[in-house]
Amino acid sequence: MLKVENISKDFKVGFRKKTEKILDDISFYIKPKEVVSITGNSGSGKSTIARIISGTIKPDQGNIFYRGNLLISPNQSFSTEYRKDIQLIPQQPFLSLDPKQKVGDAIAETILAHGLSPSKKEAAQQVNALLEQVWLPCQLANRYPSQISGGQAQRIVIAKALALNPKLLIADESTSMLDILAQAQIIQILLNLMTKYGLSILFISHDKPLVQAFSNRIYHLSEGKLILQNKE
Amino acid sequence: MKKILSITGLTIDSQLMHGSHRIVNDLSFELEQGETLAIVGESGCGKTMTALSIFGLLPENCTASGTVTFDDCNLLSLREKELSRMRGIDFVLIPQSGADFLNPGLKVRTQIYETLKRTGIKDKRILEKTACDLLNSVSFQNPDSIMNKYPFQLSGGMAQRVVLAMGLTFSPKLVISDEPTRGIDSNTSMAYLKELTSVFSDSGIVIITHDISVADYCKNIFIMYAGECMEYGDCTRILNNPSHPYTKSLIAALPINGFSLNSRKASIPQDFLNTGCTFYPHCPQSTKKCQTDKPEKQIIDQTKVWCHHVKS
Amino acid sequence: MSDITKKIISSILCLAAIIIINFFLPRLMPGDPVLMLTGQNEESISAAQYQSFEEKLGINYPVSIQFKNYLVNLFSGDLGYSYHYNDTVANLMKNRIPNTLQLAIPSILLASILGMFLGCTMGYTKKQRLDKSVTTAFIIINAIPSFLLAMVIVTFFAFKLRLFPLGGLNSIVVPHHAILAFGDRIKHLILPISTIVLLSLPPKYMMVRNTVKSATKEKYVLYAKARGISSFRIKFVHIFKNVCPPFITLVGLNLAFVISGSMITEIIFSINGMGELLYEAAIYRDFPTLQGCFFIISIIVILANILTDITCVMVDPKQRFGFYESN
Repeated sequence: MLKVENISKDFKVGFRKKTEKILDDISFYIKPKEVVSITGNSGSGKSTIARIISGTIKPDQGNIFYRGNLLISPNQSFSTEYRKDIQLIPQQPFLSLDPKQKVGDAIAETILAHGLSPSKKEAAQQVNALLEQVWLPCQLANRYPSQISGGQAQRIVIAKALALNPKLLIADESTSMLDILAQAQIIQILLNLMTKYGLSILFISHDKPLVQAFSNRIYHLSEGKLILQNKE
Repeated sequence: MKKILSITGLTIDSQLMHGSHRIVNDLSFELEQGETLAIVGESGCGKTMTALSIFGLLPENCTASGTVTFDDCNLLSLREKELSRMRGIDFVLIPQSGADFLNPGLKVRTQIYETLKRTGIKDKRILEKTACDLLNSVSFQNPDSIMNKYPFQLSGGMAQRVVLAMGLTFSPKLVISDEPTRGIDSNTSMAYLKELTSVFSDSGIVIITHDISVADYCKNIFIMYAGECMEYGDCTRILNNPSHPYTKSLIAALPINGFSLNSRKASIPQDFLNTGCTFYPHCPQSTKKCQTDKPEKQIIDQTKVWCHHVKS
Repeated sequence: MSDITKKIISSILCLAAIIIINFFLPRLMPGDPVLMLTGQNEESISAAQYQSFEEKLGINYPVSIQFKNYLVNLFSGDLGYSYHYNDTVANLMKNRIPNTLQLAIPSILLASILGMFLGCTMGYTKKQRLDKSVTTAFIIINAIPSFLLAMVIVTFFAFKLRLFPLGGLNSIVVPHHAILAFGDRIKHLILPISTIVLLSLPPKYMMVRNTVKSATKEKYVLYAKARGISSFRIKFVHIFKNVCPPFITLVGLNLAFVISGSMITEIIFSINGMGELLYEAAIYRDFPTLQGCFFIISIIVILANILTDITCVMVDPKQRFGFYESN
């Protein structure tokens, strides 16, 4: 479904703008209804992969194909046609929620912005349905981000991504700051969604033993190179 | 073994805009020299507050009552000056991730030196040598280059070991390690815990964690939920044969057990309840009695459990 | 390209823009540029006088040549001739810049140190009441218009209590002995400097206090406390180091205010400085002097900006070594 070919990315670091190669000629693929994980130490460039695929930054080299169509290349920005299909679940949920906006409104805003719902009333109904998907009670829609826990915020962000009926979810360190129970919940929710809607999931994490428990394929990123790990 | 720390009836209340709010309710535990105790609970259950109350560093709107006996004196009744003399010397805090807890604007050297200067060493050369020795003892190959770096230039693991070295400065009697494994790989975290327990083998160690698998390294385990103790006792006994429904659900949710959950709402943090068992809204076995009566302490195989469903 | 090179290039562009605006402003404004640049009146000027002025100023040449001449003059240090004062602008300013600097430099230093010290102390203190009253006092001072504050200070300390002289930089008879003369100068400077300090202190204090207040909730402060580090060291080493970069930026921005904005203080204390020159030039529509002042002030501001940027990078290790940033 998604094919990443020979992506490279340089970053300029520090006061003197020293160039550092973060991603060096990496390739991988994701099939439909599959959980693919990328592991690596912090600072190894895992999040950069997520940001390139979700179209927030451009690669220096290489192409990304989505269903056989060229999606991203160094001189082609993200084609809007597929923007909805690939959704990023960001690393720190609280940073991507407006502290002065009720979480329900944040989800409704996404729905209305993409014209997926004709009226505010229907959008609110959709929000409730989405909250149900991520196992949250409807009353939570009226809370502000400061009034919910980390695990709940993470699920709100997932609901926000789900609002656009994506085909691929990119979960960037979604569980690394969560408690055991909340982590189990997030993973159960993601796996449920995968079987229910045929989603693919790209799960990015530093925790190898964790991803081994549920991934179809695991890649390890180290010093810019991506290596396929055999499932143990 | 000598008893280092004993806490009885520790209760912490916080004053909020709309009245007071109980964070920790009637906790009691003990720690012997060379013992490792794990306090396990979800975020917001009051485990960090328990640790901060030992240090006397609770936020200004919080008050603690009960007794915290350390070295025959009640820490809660000591004044700020006396406490600050003991902090970092008699009892040390090993924070969860070194990089966040070190000052980003100061070199590692400055921050190690300022702790070292409390020993009375003034000579630069001795300072340097002692600092190098400390870093060597936490298996740094080239301590000098580490000391010239800023905390944000270190990797997470390195920062954690720097913090470990700083805790080693004065061989402390009590070590409190807050979330040593959050945000790091489970393989790495096991290695880190091994290092932590071996480096401080003469001290009493309290490990505060959300991850029940950490408890493998501990002698005793103390399971908290919403400010109350659920189960307290020998670690292997509890992990192999948990009695409390909450402990059971924590164990079931581990990756090796397939992330299984008792209830969909399991992780919603619960406030402390004045009547009834605090865990009953999420308990799969809850009955009428759980709702109305506080469970009494039950002792099974020397394990203390607070649950109506457990019979001694 | 490094950040500093970028900064210097943008500063040069900014300077070029200032020179161009400075050149075209009198020529684009309504009215006759000759009259504007000489400060003469349409009725009082004769045709012959007008012609001689026109030639002297080179207004009859095409604009391109005028601009070239302007640039050549500028780089040779000729900022124009003030017909109001009958002196070159460069000379006028040469006499006044030292006076302004005597006021500005001590005020900036004093306000920065005081702001930093009070801000750190009040931001970190546990005595809520003390913090609240000091902060409220600064808010009130901030709300008082600058001329009013200066007037109040003059009336109270100089007029009523007669502790300090009313104005000027020296007594009418300057003591001969160097030390006595210096003491006399200090006596005259105390009131104007404290006025400027009072005026520029509140924003600095507020910024430091608020930054320190939020920094006390940082994890590194908690850890420093847990290690038993003294609260003095936490305040003035740990938190100070992290408050510095934004503070330096604020002081840098404030420099322009102190250089030009001490105008009111200079007028009230009758000190012959840049502010007073600017004020008089504006009243008498002395355009060459205004242009010259603007030019010099802009250069000072641009230099101060570059300087603050460099100091910030020096002080803040995060900027020096940097995180990953996308190009």
